[in-house]
Amino acid sequence: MDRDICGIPIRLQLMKQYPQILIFLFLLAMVCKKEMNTQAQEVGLKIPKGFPLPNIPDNNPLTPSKIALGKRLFYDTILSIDSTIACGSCHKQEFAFADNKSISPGIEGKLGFRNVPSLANVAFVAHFNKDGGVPTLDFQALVPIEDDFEMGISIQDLAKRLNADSSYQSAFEYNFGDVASPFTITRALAAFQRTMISGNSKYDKVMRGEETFSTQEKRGYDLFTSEKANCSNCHSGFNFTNGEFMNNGLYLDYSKDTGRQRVTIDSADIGKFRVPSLRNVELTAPYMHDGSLASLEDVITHYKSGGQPHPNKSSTLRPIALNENETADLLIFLKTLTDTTFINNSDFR
Amino acid sequence: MTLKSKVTPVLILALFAFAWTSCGNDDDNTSDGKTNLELQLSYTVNGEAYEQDAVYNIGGVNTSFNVANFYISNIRIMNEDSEMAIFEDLNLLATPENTTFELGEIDIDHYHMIRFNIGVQAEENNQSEIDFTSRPASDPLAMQTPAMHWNWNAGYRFLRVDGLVDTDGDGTPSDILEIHIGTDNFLTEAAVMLQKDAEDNDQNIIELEFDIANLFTDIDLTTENITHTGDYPDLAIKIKDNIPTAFTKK
Ligand code: HEC
Ligand code: HEC
Repeated sequence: MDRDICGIPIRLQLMKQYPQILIFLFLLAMVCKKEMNTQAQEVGLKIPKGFPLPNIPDNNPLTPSKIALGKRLFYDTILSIDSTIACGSCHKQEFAFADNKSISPGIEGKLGFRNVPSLANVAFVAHFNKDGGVPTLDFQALVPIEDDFEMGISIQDLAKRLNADSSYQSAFEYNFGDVASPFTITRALAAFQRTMISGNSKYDKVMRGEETFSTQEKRGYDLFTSEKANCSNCHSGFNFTNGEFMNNGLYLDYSKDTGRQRVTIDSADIGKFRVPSLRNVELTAPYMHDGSLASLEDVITHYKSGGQPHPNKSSTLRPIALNENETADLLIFLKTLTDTTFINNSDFR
Repeated sequence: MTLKSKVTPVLILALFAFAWTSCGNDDDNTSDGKTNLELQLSYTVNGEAYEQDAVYNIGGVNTSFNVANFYISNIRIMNEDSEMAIFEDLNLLATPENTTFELGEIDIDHYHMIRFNIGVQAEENNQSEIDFTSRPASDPLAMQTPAMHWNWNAGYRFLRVDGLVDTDGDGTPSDILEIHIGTDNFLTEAAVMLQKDAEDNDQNIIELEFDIANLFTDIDLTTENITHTGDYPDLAIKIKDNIPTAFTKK
């Protein structure tokens, strides 16, 4: 079998014959690691201050033309069985690549069972989907493409469709030296989605020293990170998530969607969902895994109550005594996470 | 004298060559027990030959099948002294149409028992090194039609049985039967006693019967007809426990 290093295919057979090559490859790989890190900048990705570098797999380097192919696929309804639904039908830029419905319809108006998440900063996510069942963005796209409630087409059939289109054919050939295939389709989509970086909200500008919080925003920020409200216990770090799977006490009965348990089949995981980022949260209503909370006010009401006493509920969630002013402060702070540069960025259109 | 001195080195060379080739021949020599081993499965339902879409009585419920595929991995053949031949890298996809598998060369003269897993070993199942989208089409672990990969969960359906069941008792199977068993915890071992001597030829065959009906022992198909493992784990566990009983020596 062959491997590739820095996109250079290496015949393993050759390595057996000339072990010296290994030393050379090692050096090449060292240089390459550095290159991968700067690669993000080279294709014009501006990594905001305070953000880590996104993880870009060796077998799917970012290039401007691959990103363009991914964008074309993202907005093309050819990806659904009856050519009615694109990725962009559910992940809308105006809502930070989320949607404004509890459950967004797929083909034939079919309704799945989860609320569309925002794709902002998806390059930094470690486990995909709310239950973390998919280990990499690089083939996450199989889920919507093949799901009967979303696009409903086998990816092999989709590949045939794309290969029958000469302009897609040449774009795949140019970017991968290959036809459209389960591998190349999913990689191109991942490349485009890795560029969806959001880090220019008021909050970011304040952190960079370019702007200042109003006194109310500052009070809200202090509350968000305080022991009293405890939000930043889970919604922590540059992307406002600790990336873990937690039960936030939304329900007593999670039989409609057991969350992480679906993947691990461990009852200790019932009702656990990946802690979502709160970036652009003002734009991504309705909220929670099933879109059952209509507004941020409803979300705060939920947290004030301490949540339902489900056995898996995180022990850090307790009733929070917030008066009306404090509630308003928290809300105002959450709105500083809105990044209008991101939703107006013409690169994503 | 001159003749003799010329002959000696030639003779030595010839002897060498003979020794060399006879060594090389050892590998193909069947008398030492090394032969190619083939695995043959016979699909049955209640002991009758399997036929797609035919109606069978499974625990009193009329049932038909249109998919009955599963992965076999980690095949081990043991002799009476528990010496093992392991086919570590083999992942076989059994379907009603694909039932004969070349396992490779083996050096055991008595096949006491075969052990194997139904499913895919964790390293391959978790998709971290190579995933199903990057495998060549000829690889059983590449994407298949009907699909053996799951997308919402990194991994394979280890066993996929689809068909129809008669849930309303009118005799006609018309409700969906969908049994998809997977995830690492559901990797299941089967062991079958063979007690068969290797025959002294190039090819030996191990024949197993796979009886689909046995997957459903103590399961009421009128109510327990769908599981994708994570959604109805209780039914998945019952099926998992039945899997080893579906395999017998033919
Ligand atoms: C019918 C609406 C719909 C369509 C069409 C759709 N998605 Fe999604 N998407 C969702 C929902 C709902 C989820 C949450 C799924 C889950 O958690 O199980 C999701 C999750 C995701 C995620 C995971 C994000 C995370 O943070 O874990 C990515 C990435 C994604 N979609 C990309 C895409 C791409 C690429 C396409 C097109 C190939 C697409 N989606 C098409 C509704 C849709
Ligand atoms: C114990 C961890 C934990 C704490 C503490 C916590 N959250 Fe959450 N939060 C979660 C989880 C998990 C979800 C996703 C639940 C779901 O999908 O059903 C979530 C969802 C949300 C959402 C909805 C996001 C969306 O896109 O649907 C908002 C808004 C939110 N939390 C705000 C807050 C605020 C404000 C606080 C503090 C008052 C807070 N959270 C405290 C774990 C936590």
